[in-house]
Amino acid sequence: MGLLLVPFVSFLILFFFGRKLPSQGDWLATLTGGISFILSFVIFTQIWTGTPQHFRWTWFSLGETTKTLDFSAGILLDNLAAVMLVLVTFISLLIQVFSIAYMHGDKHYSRYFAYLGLFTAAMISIILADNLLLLFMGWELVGFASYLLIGFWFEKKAAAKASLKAFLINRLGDVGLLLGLFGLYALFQTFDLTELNNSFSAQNPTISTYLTLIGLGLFCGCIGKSAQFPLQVWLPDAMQGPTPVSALIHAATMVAAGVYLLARCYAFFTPDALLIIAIIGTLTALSGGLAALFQHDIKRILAYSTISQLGFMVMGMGTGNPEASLFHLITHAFFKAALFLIAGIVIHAMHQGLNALPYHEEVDRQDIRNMGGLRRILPITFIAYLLAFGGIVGLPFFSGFLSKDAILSGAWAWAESKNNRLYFLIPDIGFISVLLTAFYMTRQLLFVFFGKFRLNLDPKTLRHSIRNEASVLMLIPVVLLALLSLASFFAVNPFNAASGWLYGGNQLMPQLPNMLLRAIAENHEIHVYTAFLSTTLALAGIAFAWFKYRNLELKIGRVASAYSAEPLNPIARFTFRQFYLNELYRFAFIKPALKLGKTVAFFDKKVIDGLLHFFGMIAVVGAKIIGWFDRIFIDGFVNLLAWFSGSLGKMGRNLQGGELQSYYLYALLGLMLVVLSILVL
Amino acid sequence: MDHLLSLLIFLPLLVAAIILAVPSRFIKAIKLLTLGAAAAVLVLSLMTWFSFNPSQPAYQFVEKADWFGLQLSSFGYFQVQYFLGVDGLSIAMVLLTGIVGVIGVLSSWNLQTKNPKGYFALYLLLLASVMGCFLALDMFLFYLFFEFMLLPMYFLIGIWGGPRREYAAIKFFLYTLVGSLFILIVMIGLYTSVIDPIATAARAGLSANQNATQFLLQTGKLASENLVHTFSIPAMTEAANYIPGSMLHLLSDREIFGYPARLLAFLVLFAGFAIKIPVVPVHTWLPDAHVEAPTPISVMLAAVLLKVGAYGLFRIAFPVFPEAAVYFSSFIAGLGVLSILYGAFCALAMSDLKKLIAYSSVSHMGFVLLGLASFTTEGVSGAIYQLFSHGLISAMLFLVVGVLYDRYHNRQISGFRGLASALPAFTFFVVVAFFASLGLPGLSGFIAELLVLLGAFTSASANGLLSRWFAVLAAFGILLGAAYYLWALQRMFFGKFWIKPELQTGTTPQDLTAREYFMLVPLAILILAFGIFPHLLLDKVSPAAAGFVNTMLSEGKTNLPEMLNLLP
Repeated sequence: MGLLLVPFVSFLILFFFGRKLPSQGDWLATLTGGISFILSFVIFTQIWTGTPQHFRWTWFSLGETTKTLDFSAGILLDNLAAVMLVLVTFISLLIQVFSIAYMHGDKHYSRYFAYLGLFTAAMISIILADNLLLLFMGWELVGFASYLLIGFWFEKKAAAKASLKAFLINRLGDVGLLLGLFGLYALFQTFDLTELNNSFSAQNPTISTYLTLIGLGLFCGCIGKSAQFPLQVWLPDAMQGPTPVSALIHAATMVAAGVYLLARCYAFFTPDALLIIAIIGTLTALSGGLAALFQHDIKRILAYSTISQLGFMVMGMGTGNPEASLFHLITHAFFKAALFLIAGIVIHAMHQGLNALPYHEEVDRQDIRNMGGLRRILPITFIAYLLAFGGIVGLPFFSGFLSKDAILSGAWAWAESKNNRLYFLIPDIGFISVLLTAFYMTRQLLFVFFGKFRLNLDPKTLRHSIRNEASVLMLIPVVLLALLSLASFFAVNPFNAASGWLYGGNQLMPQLPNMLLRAIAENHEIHVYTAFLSTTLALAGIAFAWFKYRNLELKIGRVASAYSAEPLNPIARFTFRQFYLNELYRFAFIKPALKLGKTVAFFDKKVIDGLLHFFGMIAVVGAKIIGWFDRIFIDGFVNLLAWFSGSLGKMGRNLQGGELQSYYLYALLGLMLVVLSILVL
Repeated sequence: MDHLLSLLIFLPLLVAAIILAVPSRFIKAIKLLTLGAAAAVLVLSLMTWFSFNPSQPAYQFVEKADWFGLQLSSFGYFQVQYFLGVDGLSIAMVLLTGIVGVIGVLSSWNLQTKNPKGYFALYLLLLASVMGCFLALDMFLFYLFFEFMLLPMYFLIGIWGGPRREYAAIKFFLYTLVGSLFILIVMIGLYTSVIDPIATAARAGLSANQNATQFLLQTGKLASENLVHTFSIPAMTEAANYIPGSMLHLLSDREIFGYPARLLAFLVLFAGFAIKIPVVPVHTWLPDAHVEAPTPISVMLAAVLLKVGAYGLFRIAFPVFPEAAVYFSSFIAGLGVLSILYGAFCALAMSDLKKLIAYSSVSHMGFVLLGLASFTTEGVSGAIYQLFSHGLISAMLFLVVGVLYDRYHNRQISGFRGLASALPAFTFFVVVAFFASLGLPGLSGFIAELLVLLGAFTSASANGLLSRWFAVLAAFGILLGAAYYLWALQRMFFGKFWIKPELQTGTTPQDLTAREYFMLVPLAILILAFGIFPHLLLDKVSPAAAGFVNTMLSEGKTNLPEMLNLLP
């Protein structure tokens, strides 16, 4: 609990009072980050070999006192949560340290650290949540914090747009997640994970379309947050945030949440749902890899590679090997954070160097065509990059090798267990993605660190100072993270993940009868086979990129904007533009939605109000007619009556002239009339 | 305090009368008097809130007195009572009115009014009549207050409003008048059909208790001149109080246009309240009224007045005609979903920020209807929560629009860019209000919409009334909500600071003043508090909601077949 509060309190203090604190409160953020990490580590040591802890209390309850519906809140600390806690707090801490140097001098320096605190707090609340409702709240808060951080430089239009896009696409996934939660609640009247797991294992509910739909609903949340196909489009745009934020999003906080959700809800997925998850994951792995091939932006390449790696994790989930996915989540977190922070160092260095140039505004600091030869200028960064590179490409002795291998052999075994050759497409595409990863990472490596520096300025000016290539505050986190890409931190035998402490002992998800994993352990053949194949493919990818980009024909002094912005080859352009998904969405959803809004507003104004005005007019016209009628006929009638009685009176007056003869005449006439009437009738 | 509820109504009325006696040059005194009255109402409503006991299902703080009566020969005795009381449904509304009442006065403080005396007197009249609506348990009294709300509102918009104020005021007046007319028709119908058993027994000289009297009534053993007709809402909710053979008796076979009279009466009553909520397609008075009304009146309108319509459904339409409500539940939920989506799409298309917010109100009030129609404890609690939470949030939304309007006399989204750099504190509150309204967890709107959607979704398995599709469609409302708010945020507040040249005042824009902080900070804190500690409200409200659901379902489901059996 305290763990959750520490970064949150830091957020509050920094947000409201940050500017008044000495050095704008960065020390406070780092301090709270450190405290969180230490607390997490203590928790980890207690939980990992001990028993899971569960604290819960009633948050609020509905209904009468005799019969209530309780909504609980609580903390569930098991091995999975403990590992994730350490991971998140560790990476957040390093990123905070890095940011002190990176964000130095920013207008809203203290606010930045405040947002970081909120981000971490939200992520921790997802990890600790013992029920899905609480998890959902943390989930949305992560979205909110990412909205703030991606749009941190809100004066840049692109940043404001990117943050909007990220939040909306996440919300779209959240709608599905929410409906999935409702589906579970409708079945079991609870959101509590432990209770749900118990009822799933005890009642063994019949596998139905309804359950599959629930599973897919939950998975929608993951598609949104973990940038799976077809909703991955927000992640590359999220680069508009400060680079350390990208590192945080890509490594520890945001995208990891989706995979964590799948692990937490693993028992609720039906085989059909898992198959769809596997397919989506595979598509994501492939599409991310393809899209990364020809990008020029240093961060964009990394962003697509994250999509691809997330696809791997989801594929592992779908093919019945959640522990391998989580393992990959953790290894990936370290090397991806390292890569992003290295990109941060490079961008920072470019920025520093370019400030000396007169035309520096036009030069893209993030375009890899503007770099080159940085291995001599930034040697420590270069070595760190090589370590992280080994991790992501999956070379032996690096962590990525272990985790990718675990996922791929799991997928292979899964495909073998099915009676249809089509299932092998999934591990096959996984292997292709390994090749793609090796290719585009090598391309980046060559563009950035090899060859000669391609801008017309002294590369020495890129260094922080003559003695240091970059600020120590930036280098230490990078080096730590890069070292953690080595396999030896995870397993004694660098070729067998199962020998490691994290992955081997069925530690992360002990509640699952992990049959598949055991099957792989027994079937050593698959394991060796996949290890060999993936290593070969990785090397092939490296070699291919090496031969293609070894002798770069880029002119020194020619800035990247002089080259065409997009590849000329249509297929390459197709992948470069991310298969035109953005354009498709704009055309198929955003425009129609806005159009519908306009139509509805038009309907409101013209049809509903129009009818209203029409009736109003009828009423007014009717009133006028009645008024006219009133004046002419009713008043007229009254006037007529008045006139008539007046005339009658006149007549009567005439009759009463006072002459006897005339009275006699009238009497006679009257008598005649009476006689006549008697005769006639 | 025996007359807590009466004080809530009559204190502002009294102060309004005093204000009329104060010479209009003492503006400060008038303002202070109004503020004092509103603050006293808040204190009183807080006292009611804290001494309200949620575990007791009956009405509390009841005040009941005969107001007037007439013997109408063989027709019976005409009885109107002064009958006040609160239960879990109304207590939340009373507190909300108390809170918003004070905020409204504060935001009127610097209003350039033509005639401050009239303005503040009318304001207090409005406050008193809204409070009266929430407290009245006699339908005649309710109707009286309901009509009384129209009068100050008409003048407040029509005199102190924007450029098209006459049009908006007349539109508002006519719309709501039609609604009132519907309510009046049903009220008369109910009145002819319902008796007060205890008063009847006393009048007939019987020593029978309530149940015995009801038995005598149903077996036709009571002489019609001894019947005491009543407007009492609790009496109307008991089927045994209806005179056999009367128009709205459950087993009456009267039909109007081929429909059982009770079903039709429910629809007419529903239509009357729906105009006030407002429900699509009878909502078009709302955007106009909001756009033309001065800020404090918009605040009162959105935060409190709209709630009266929904409250009328809770208090009168549903409990009096439970079988009809159950019968039409899908229809009502459909209208709710329609309002949610229609309002959201309209909001997406608006170019005026205040109109955008007005349409978002339509959208959010749709959630109330959906929750109500779900007939689940979750849904109904959520609907009440939404009423309360929307009251706070919409007050804040209209206040922030007012802040902008005060600075630039313009609210066009296209007129501004990058306001976040120029007005950071203001932007902070805008972000809080927008995110609260789009349902960010930790803020009150989330709990409300979550519970409503949950209720609507579980209705299929809990009572079989609503299809799950209603919840699925409504859930997209929260996506659209995020879309129109964030888009507006992006266009107006982000980017480089820029204001349309004709709006520029030449001076650097001033960020929030102390008075504005004083209005916005409490609202933000309340929104946060009710988002994190929902039990603050739910403990008081949800037992009543559960009771409401139980009686509605049991009575509705038993009455409905009986009634439908009578049809040919």
